[in-house]
Parts: sequence; structure tokens; C-alpha cells
Amino acid sequence: MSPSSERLVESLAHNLQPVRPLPPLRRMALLVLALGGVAAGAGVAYLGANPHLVEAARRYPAFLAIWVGLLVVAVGGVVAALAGAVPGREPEARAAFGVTALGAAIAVGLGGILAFSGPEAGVPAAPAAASGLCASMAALLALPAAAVVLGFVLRGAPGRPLASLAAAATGAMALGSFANHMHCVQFDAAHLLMGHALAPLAGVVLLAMPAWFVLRRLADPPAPE
Amino acid sequence: MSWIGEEQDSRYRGWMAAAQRGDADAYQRLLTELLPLLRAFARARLREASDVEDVVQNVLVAIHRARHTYRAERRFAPWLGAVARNAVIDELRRRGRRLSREVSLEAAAEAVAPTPESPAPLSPEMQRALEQLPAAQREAVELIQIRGLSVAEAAQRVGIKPGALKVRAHRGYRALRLLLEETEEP
Repeated sequence: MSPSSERLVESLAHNLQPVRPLPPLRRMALLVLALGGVAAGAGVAYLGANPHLVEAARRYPAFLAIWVGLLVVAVGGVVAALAGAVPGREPEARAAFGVTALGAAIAVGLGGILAFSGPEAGVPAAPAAASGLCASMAALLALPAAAVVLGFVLRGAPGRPLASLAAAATGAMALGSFANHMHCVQFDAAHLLMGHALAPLAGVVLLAMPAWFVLRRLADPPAPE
Repeated sequence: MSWIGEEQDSRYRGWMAAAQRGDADAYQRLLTELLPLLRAFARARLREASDVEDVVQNVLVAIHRARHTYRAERRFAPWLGAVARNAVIDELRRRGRRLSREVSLEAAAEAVAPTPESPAPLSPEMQRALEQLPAAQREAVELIQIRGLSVAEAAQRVGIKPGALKVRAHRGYRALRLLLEETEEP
């Protein structure tokens, strides 16, 4: 029946091929965040920066809370995804998941409370389509970073693949939403929450779920009948 | 894998780095030295001693597949521990899924099950294939499929837990299928 473990060792050694080790996590994290920065720069160059950005951050506390929260989610999510894909780096992944949760609490929790109780609550409502447009723009700006993080997770050996992919998608989408925040001129509460703070959740559906199916196919191909 | 000492870790680190460059000798030395550690690791996590070798082999394959995720500037033990732990968890999950599938198959088979008094007749090919199985697997298959005992009854008769008997029987079915396929080939 199954060969002995000693024979398996011989066979694995006999068929050994050289491999290229995964790049260091720190370098990958910096690369992803830099890609987010480049995408943000490209977005601003193409769409133009919000001329009232500094004033908006000062005047609308929810706008600022969501912006900061998205940045924290982006850093936490990207690091959680990268660390989660490398065996032995689980402690860093767990800490980064904590940072992601903190960012989500700032962006959605604090941002939501401030949005509906602060001056944003009095701003005329943006059309519903504006939230979809901002989430789509965030996804577009997130694509380069998402491709790199998801590629790293798929190439790695995550202990919890779905969690790593969800973190990758959330982090990348938060980067995109952070960039989108810089040129959006809609400040009403519902729009800030739906189109900006909650946009990373869309990343889980749009990016993480398809990647999850790819990973499952790679890891567990269907048995021949 | 906290029982891997600093000196041992540094040796494994060197071998793994060499293996990543394609050095088969270093890789074989590494895996051979890891075998007793992996057996102890699996033994500490499994109820059935008979499953240890299977799990060790799964861990070896997991190490092989994940070898590119190791970076030589870091300690080897945490990497190995995580790969081994993940492989054991995956294996236990797979077994859980398989056992739940088998439970539904057994329910369907019960309607036409033979009885201990009138065992199911066997074709000569099946008889020959059955004889080639390891004793433990043959016994499990015979008790369930030929004598018609329930898993619980068969497990009681053998003196092992029902889950372990199901695993033996499942391996027996798989081996039987392969043996029968071989005999069908021209």
C-alpha cells in the first residue's frame, strides 16, 4: 500500500528541484504599500485632488476618522495576509489582524458615529450611485496592490487560507479606498460610510472569494473518477 | 518544535537553504533527521498509533511543497512546527469529511447488507484481491461488507474505536479498488 516514510524521503530528495524562496515580508509589505501610493498618485493625477481636502479633514471629523481608519486597515490587512502566508509567522499575522480590527473600528465604528452625529449628518445626501462609484474606484485603485498580495498568498503556504485571502483583499481595498478618499468631494454621512469605510468589505467578495476557489483547486484537485 | 536545540536548528537551516538550491543530499539528510521528530509530533496529536505513519508522510509532503516559504535567516523550528501543525490539521479535517461521507454510504448499504449468518458471496477476483490486503484492512472490510456487521459491532469485535475501524475499512476499499483495476487491465 502506501510507501514507508523512509522511501518517501528518498523519493522527495531524488525528485528535488531548486526553488526560489519567497521574498522577505518587510520588503513585500513596503512594495505593496508603495504600489498603493503609486495608485493613489495616479488616481489623483487622473481625477484631480479634492481642493478642499485639508479643510474637509479639519471640518468633518468622520472624514478624517475614516481616512485614518482605512490606512490602519490597509497596513494591518496587508501585513496579516503576507505573514499569514508564511509558516512560522503566525504571531505577526495575529498581531496584524488585531491592527486590522482596530482600523475597522476606527473607520466604521468611530467614523460611523461621528458621521451621523457630526456636521456630515447635515450635508445633503449624495446620489446612491455615488457610493457604488467610489467603491468601484477604490477597487480599481486597489488592483495593483491586490495582485501582489494575493499572488504572494497563493504562492505561500497559509495555515488559514481564507483568512489570509480575506485580509489581503481587505487590506488592498482599504488602500484603494484610502486613495479614493483624497479626491472624493461627497461628505454626507451615508456616502462616507457606504462608499468609503465599508468599501474594503466588497474586496472580500470581489477578490478573496475567487482567489479562495483558485487556492482550493490548487491544493485539493478533484479526485479522478 | 521547541525540542529542536539551537545547534540542531542551525544545521537544519543550512540543509534547508542547500535544499532550496537543489542539493538533494542535504535535503535527504534533513528529512531523515526530521523523521523521528515528526513521528513524535504526530504521536502526540493522534489517538490511533496506526495513523502516525500516514500523517508523517503528509507532513513530509507538506514540507516539500512549502520549502520555498522558508527563509534561511530565520529559525527553522517555528517554520517546521507551523508546517507540521497545518498538515496535521488538514489531515484531521479531511478525515472528518471522509467519515461523514462514509456514514451516509453505510446507511444506503444497510438496506442490502448481508448478515453474519449468510455472508455475501465473493467473486474469485475479489477473493484474491482481498487476500492481498494487509490483515487489519482485510478484517475491517470482511466484517463490514462480507459479514454485514455494523461499524460499531465490527469495532467492538476487533477491539478498536469505530472511527479507527472506518479508516481501516476505507483504506481497504481504496486498495481493493486499485487491485481490481489492475486485474481488469489487459
